[in-house]
Amino acid sequence: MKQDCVKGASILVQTILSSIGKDFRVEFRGRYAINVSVAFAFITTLSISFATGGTAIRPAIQAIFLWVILFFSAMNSLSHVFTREEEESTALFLRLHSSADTVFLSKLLYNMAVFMFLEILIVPLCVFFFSITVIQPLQFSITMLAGGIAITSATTIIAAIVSQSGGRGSLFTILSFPVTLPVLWVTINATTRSITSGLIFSWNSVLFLAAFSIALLMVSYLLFPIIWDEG
Amino acid sequence: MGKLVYQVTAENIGKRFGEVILFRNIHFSLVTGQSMAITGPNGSGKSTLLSITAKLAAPDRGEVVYLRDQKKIGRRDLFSHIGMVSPAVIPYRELTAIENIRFAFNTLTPAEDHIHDRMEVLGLYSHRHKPVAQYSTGMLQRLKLLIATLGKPGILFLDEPGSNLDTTGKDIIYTYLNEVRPDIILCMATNESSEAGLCERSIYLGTDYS
Repeated sequence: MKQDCVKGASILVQTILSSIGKDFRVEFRGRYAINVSVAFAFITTLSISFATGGTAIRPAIQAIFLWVILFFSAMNSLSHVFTREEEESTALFLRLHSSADTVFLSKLLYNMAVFMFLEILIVPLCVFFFSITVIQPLQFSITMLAGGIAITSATTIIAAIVSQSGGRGSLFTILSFPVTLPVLWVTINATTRSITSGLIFSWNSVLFLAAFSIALLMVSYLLFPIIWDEG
Repeated sequence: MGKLVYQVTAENIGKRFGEVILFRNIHFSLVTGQSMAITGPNGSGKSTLLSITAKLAAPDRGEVVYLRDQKKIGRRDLFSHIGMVSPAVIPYRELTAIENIRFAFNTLTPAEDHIHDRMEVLGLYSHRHKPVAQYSTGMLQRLKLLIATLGKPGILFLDEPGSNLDTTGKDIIYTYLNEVRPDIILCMATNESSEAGLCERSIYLGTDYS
């Protein structure tokens, strides 16, 4: 019995890894979505930097700029993981060869990896161009990580729903914004505290982001088979 | 151990698009070793009925039931028992044939030698490391057939299997289908009389319900 469980878990992990590997290969051989996200991040960061022209920006505004750039840069890549399957008519091939559980978990982990990749590119860029001084590096890093996980947890299921409709890309951002608004609110607040001297960082923010992610992941995991199988 | 016996039963299947009734009151039952062609003019709903039978689309009326050795197969398990070749089932264009096969079968990927043998038969071996985007439509059709049949499914659905194939390609497919037909349920949507002739039964869709 225990051996069967271990074997089943091992097969699930292998299947998920294979599916993530497939998504990365497909994405990086085309590089369309990632390129658009990276280009958007560079252009926006440079535009804001030129527009502010050396003016000192308050930490709260720096945090807002950082998260707004991250959020809108990621929007294209996060939805693309599902919309690509519909646009290139591979959804049925995927449905025939992967279970709904595998599809959801692999797309979620892929989106998390993409968001982390964008953070690695965008955060140093923003730190440099907006002259952000990270006062509490550990708290700052954990906020970035927890915020990224919360945003991808909320948006992966929305991407799956949107991929079944005609609107696709634009609809994804419109639907994602209200759902991720509490996350953006809390992450901007927590980021501000980690880059402002004299402010005490509240771990409750990280706790909220973790609770938000867990709750949304559980609901999404339960609902996804209905969206996927009936799509 | 004896071979697995599958049964697919369609009861009172009906489908409409808006005011137009595509088909209604479709009944059939197939067991392993039996084959059926769905024929009819363009737009008569052949592909739709095939998709409904494969549970890839929902009917407006009726239901399709699958049994394996008298035990019901749930929808979530069904796809591990069926193979499908259809214009709507498209492998990843950015991946090579081998990568698509490894993804499709994952931990159940057949032995490399077996894959290579099958690719050789279908004339795909020398193209195995090319991205599918570089395949001709005929090669893509052969790849679809390879992926649909490599796992030796108990039930095979084919939607216009000979489309885009030259005479050699068609011969390979027809020979293969004749070989495996006694061990599977074969359900095919086609307009080609040579393909329909491979099946022992047929359903003609074409009655005007409007």
